[in-house]
Amino acid sequence: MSEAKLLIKLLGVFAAQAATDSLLVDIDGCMPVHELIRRVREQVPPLVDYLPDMNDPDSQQSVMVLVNKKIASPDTLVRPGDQTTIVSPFGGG
Amino acid sequence: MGSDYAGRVLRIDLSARSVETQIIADSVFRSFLGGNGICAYLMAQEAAALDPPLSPCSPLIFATGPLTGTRAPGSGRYAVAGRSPLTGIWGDSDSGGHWGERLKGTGFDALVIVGRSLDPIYIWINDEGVTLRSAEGIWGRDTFDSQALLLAETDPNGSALCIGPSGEKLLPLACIITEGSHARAAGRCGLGAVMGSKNLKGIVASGTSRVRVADPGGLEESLKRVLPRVAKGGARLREFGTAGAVAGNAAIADMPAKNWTVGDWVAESKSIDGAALAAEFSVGRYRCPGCVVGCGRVVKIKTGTHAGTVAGGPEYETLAGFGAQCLVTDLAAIVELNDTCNREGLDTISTSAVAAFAFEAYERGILTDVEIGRPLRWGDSEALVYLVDQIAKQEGIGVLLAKGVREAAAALGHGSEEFALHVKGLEPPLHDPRALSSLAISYASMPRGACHRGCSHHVERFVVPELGYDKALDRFAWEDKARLVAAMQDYAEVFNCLKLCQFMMSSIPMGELVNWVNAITGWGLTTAELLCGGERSNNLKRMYNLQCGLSTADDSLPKRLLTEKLPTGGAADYLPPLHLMLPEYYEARAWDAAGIPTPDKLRDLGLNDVLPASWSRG
Repeated sequence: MSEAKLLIKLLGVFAAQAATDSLLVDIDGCMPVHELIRRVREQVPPLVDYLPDMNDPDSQQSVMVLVNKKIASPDTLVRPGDQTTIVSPFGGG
Repeated sequence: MGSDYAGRVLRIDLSARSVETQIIADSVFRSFLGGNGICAYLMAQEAAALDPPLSPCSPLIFATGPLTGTRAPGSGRYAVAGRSPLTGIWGDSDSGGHWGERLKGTGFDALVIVGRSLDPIYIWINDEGVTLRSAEGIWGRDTFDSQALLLAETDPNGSALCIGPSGEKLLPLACIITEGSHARAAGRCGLGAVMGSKNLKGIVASGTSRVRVADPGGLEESLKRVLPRVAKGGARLREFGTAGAVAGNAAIADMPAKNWTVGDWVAESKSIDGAALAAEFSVGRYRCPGCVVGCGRVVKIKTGTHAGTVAGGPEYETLAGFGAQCLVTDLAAIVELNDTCNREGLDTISTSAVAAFAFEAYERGILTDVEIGRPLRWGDSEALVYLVDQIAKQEGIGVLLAKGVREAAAALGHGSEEFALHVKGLEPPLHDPRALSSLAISYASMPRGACHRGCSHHVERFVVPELGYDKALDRFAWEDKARLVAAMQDYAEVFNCLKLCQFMMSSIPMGELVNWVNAITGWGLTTAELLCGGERSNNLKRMYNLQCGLSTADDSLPKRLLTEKLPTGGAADYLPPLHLMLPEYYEARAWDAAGIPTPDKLRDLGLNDVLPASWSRG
């Protein structure tokens, strides 16, 4: 299977920690969001403390992945060309 | 007493200048847990509970929680409650800081304040007792100066809360501030005006007693397990504070813009988000006692009267309110506005809401240069600073706007009610129910009106097996959402009763929370009993609101949020079907079709013994 790159936008604390507001991640055809996050963690070590493993149920409250503007579940498949954004929404203050 | 509670409530009648200690049974604290719950209980015991909010007899209640003053992280909050002058119904609010633990250190768990002093006064509570002192030299001062003076006159190691000039002027947008220039605010429902109506400028608490913990070893063991999770879970909050939510909330269109009409303000939001605040203004962080996160920001003010000073920075709600809702991208102005509101003692959520309302009224020609005194165009930060100044000084258009959007629109007319967004009179926080269906049912049903503290945020994401939710739900779907919201409201109310910071909610497993409560109090509560405490509190507030004349017609949302779709952005074309969710919500709560708790529900919660005989049950 040919390997392509997926452009990921980072917002808020993720952009600050990665010192960039976008990343290119290798993607093999398609992959689930939880695998994508694993690769991002591997590629950008400063994000490890902020971007939890999505197989951890707690992570669903602290990180959100938007695929083509829709909130994705850990099992949602992403493909090359998908508009992908990692955000951390919360309320209060 | 089997618990850490002293079981003592201080009741102060400012008219009679009398002080009385009431003994409350441990079983009451066990049932209502503390904080907001004990406020609701104490309110129901007061003969004047339903008096008009600013009448002398109307009670104002402050309370701590069972975790206050212990090593439990995020447990330093206090609650304040009364009948809201903004909404006319149940009002409560709370804030972090040291005041709660310093009150508990005096041996009192709560304060009930009634009556009205003839002259401005303040209350000092310490280990020796209670003193009522003249506040003549402090009245009229802003909250920062007032707290400094209060502590200088009493105990520099104590903690003070106070109102600003807005509370003294009885403005329905007035709040209560503590922690000096760090400015932690009990912002909502206008309870600062209730303090002002009593001629009560502030309360200093400087108790030094330590809280008794029933099982210190058990608490430490649990803390060892939980603290790393809390620290890890709070990493994102530590980095930017709640300001870090701006970018993400804009991306999913949860953050409203232009008075709830724009759904895509993502690009502009970068001007006011956490990174911008950190880069241009932040000079430090603030943390509540025992907190391992430290979400508060310390910023340098760059514009206005207090340029060059250092104070508490704007939170998410303030950034979204003065920023996105007014289309203002001038972060220096928002930092200045936040500081102005904190000093004057104005709730930034309601104040920014009424400002956005004024911008739209001007755009529609309902307000003109004549009424306002200058042009008022979206995005004009100078105009926004001018508006808030008018509100604070009670000059010009500020007299009308200080009434809140409901009353301002009623007075203004010309269809302005259509864009005066409120629920039960309370301006919504900065989260859009068109982006999260849970918010729709939660805003419509919460006791104090549209509220972000009564049901956490985006509960669709929460995985809480104890409540029957082991996977995240779709944010737009409405099926089963009402049951989730009812359950999460009660869970959030447990936090509000314990006076535990809700930012801990996703980091503390429910079982460990039960361990904390039992280790501290020795109550031996089950998980179900703990949750029942939250449900009991919410149902008692509901009964209070029914006495105030509330009906199911009030359990609604502003027309704009039910009928006007966002044209673009992350939540475009969605409207929450509140009419489908509300009956399910009543059913989940065991309320009848009129939204009244059934006799069986009141009996099961043990509320029949608490409700005054004069209160209607249906």
